[in-house]
Amino acid sequence: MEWIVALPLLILDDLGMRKLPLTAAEDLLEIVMRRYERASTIVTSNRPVEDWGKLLGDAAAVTAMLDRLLHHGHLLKCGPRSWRTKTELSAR
Amino acid sequence: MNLIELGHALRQLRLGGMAAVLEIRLQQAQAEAMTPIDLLSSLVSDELSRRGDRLLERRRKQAGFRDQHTMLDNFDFNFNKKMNRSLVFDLATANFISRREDAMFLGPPGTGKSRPRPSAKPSSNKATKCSTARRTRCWMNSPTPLSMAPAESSWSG
Repeated sequence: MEWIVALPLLILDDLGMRKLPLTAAEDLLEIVMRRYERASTIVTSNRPVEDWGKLLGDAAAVTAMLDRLLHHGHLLKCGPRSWRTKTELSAR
Repeated sequence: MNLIELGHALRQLRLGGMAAVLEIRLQQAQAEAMTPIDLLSSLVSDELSRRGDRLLERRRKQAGFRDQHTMLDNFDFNFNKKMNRSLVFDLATANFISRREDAMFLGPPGTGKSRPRPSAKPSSNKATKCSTARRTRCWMNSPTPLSMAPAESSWSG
């Protein structure tokens, strides 16, 4: 855990793409709490934040986590069109 | 010591950046009547620049970025016009890292959330230059429990 907390930039890519272990919400909150205002974290996900409570199985932990992530955070909404469809169109 | 011997000596001292440009810099010093301190400064700058470039390249490889050639320079913002262009460029400066701020990239699959690169220009790539950025890990997609994670292993989602 210590090395994750100490990283200047941590990227959690594609949160919610795979089934997460039961302790995921707890672990993730612990990481976010310990990195809050100490180091940067980037989270990417194709699931809207409204679903994260269900996804991680702990609405309270998710609320606390999002509160910290968004306090000094930047929210970039990507899309809505998929770049893969652009590649397909160009290939035709 | 002649020029060739000096070049060898510099390489022996692991100053390959200086050795590579020594002849050109000496010619420049003669042509422009450079003072010794200016000549020395140029050579030291060349060495530092080469080391910086190599460090950046090494970290790029260690980071294992997908789409190594995808840069903001050729990013088509017209494809997804609703994307916050100024935020993208702001994040690309990587200044948020030194401010210890966070970022969230949300959107449907295939919209480039995992693709944004720290900077359009390698020379200004702060995130990659960041001293321990090379150890950045992707944990949430790993089947390995966090407690079992060895500090130097690499997980990729």
